[in-house]
Amino acid sequence: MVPLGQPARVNPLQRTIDALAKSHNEAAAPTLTAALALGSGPVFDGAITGLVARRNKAGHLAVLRHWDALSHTQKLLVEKGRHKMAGALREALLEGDDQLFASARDFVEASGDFDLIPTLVVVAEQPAGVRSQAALDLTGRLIDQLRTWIESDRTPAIGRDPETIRHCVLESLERSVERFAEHKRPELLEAFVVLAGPRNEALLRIMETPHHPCYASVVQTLTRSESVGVMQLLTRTLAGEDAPQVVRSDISKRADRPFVEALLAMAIDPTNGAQRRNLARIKTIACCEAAQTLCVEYSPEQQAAAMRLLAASGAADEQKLALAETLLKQGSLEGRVTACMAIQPVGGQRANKLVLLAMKDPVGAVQAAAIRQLRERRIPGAMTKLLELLDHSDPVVSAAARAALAEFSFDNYTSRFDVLEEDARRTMGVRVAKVDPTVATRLKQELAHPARRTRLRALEMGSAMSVLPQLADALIERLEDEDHLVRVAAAEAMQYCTADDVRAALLTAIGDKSVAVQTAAKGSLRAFGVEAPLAEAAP
Amino acid sequence: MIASLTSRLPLAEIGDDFPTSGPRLNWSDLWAWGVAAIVAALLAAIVVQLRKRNDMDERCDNPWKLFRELCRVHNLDGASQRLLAQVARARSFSQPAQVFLTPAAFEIASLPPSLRNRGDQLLRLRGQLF
Repeated sequence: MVPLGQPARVNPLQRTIDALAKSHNEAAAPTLTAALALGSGPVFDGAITGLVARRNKAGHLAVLRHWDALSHTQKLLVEKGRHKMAGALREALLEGDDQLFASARDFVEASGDFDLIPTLVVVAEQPAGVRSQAALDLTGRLIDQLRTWIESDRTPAIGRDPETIRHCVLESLERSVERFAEHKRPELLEAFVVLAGPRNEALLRIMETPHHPCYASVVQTLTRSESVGVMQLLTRTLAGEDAPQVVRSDISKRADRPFVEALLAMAIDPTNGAQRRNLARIKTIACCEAAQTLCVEYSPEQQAAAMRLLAASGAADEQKLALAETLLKQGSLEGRVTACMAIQPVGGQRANKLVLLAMKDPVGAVQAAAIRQLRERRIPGAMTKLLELLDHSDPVVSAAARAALAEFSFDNYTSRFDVLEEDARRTMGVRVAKVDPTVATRLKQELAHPARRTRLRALEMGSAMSVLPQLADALIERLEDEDHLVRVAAAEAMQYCTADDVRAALLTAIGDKSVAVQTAAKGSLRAFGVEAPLAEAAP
Repeated sequence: MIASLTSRLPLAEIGDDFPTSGPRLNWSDLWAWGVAAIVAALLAAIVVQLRKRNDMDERCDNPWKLFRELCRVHNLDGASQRLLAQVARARSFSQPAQVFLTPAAFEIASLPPSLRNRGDQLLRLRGQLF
């Protein structure tokens, strides 16, 4: 154990390695390189550590020559010094023999050294051969890694900014695209498309110029590539201003599973005007035409997404209704609900039939989606049906019916009450009492209002709505009202109540100082079958 | 009259007859100063060379200097340094500093006879370096 306050004793070999790693004497590199001949052991490990710590291309190349024989731990030691090895890696990739090339390629892939992508692009542009193919494959994998890194959360941000790396790599790929006529490597074009993103000017220029040398290859990439990056580019371009025609055409035509899944995962933002306009310019969506396949092979969320997508597109109403019909008949619950909601803006007989079909769905949520459209579609018997549905056992259905009859509210009724005929007051009042669950509470508030006229009107409204039994407590309180007209009206209204305490309150009201109140109370008691003598009026 | 006087007497001899003037200075009078200057220059060059030889922060490509740098890192005394240099030469290493990374270089059996009789020293040195 090292005593406190004293530095730990460094292993002598480690001291030698540290000194060789840091020495300003260039002879250190060949000294360490010579030690690599040992092949293994602590001296070998030390020599690797020392060499990768130095900026010496020959030493790094010597390490790369041993790459295949290195253990995982030793490879990690080498990867630690990768930022100093760029020169050697570049030389190994461009001019090295097969062994060096293979080692450098493996090293770049293992360490994810994106700075080497421009070099790999140069190798990939060489005439067809094993090396150029290997460089192409590696470039593609590194681009995917870089894209995933950029897409990831990256919190906390450590090391270099991936956007900066992306910018550098994209520059080299743009130059390669300019040389496309010479190398004709569509894979490099795909790498460019993957990394470019929807706002890249060079890519947009190619997509909008059919006579561009790269146009055909870019179109082919967009049409066939199953790369996540390409599919993201397509969906993201759709969310931006003026998506090029080639992108809209690809989205319209592609029906391969990976793309359809990516497309259906795209969020449709109703507030995004650009996306709405782009979608409106798409007249057909191949994956939505295969409605049966959607119902069988895709998840409930994807079925719903397909319906939303088609509804937002510029497809004909007939296409939208066809998908909705298939979903309503064979789709998942989520698909059926979305289908029902999606046909809301579509008028006509066929749409009405689909709504009625949805009304028969065994699940309340689908019925609810249909109920919300019943009135605006002016389907005969809709009002009666809605009033019936207010008492439905499924709260989702009754709530939807209530929402569909929203104009039968207490506020509306109150504002029109004075101008309504007696019959209309009763007809509408009964409906309002059924639709608006707040009626009793609101009437009790009105009965407690300081204005006599309001209190009297509340009694009239309660009578018209046939909700007086629910107001028994408030009516009993009104028997104590300061105004004898209110007391009379309350006593008269109480004949429609049945509670025992109402009868007791009426018997008490017989002793009221007002004869009119006494008469009204007696009349109401008579309705209960109670005969009471008229008390003497107070002076 | 002045013109005739100067034409008769060489200008160089003007002042020779002043009472405080010494003998005339010749080149041979400067040799001592020259030697002193050369010695000083030599000394300065030696000092510069010595400092350069021991300045391990200076960028260079000198195998024996690296050897000395490592000897200094391990605090080796003069005798050990000489012995280690002999081993490096005996092993014909392309870089003398390789001896610091090659434990097998200290195997006595394969060393020349002149070094074999210093086996104890070599073993101690090996223990010190590895």
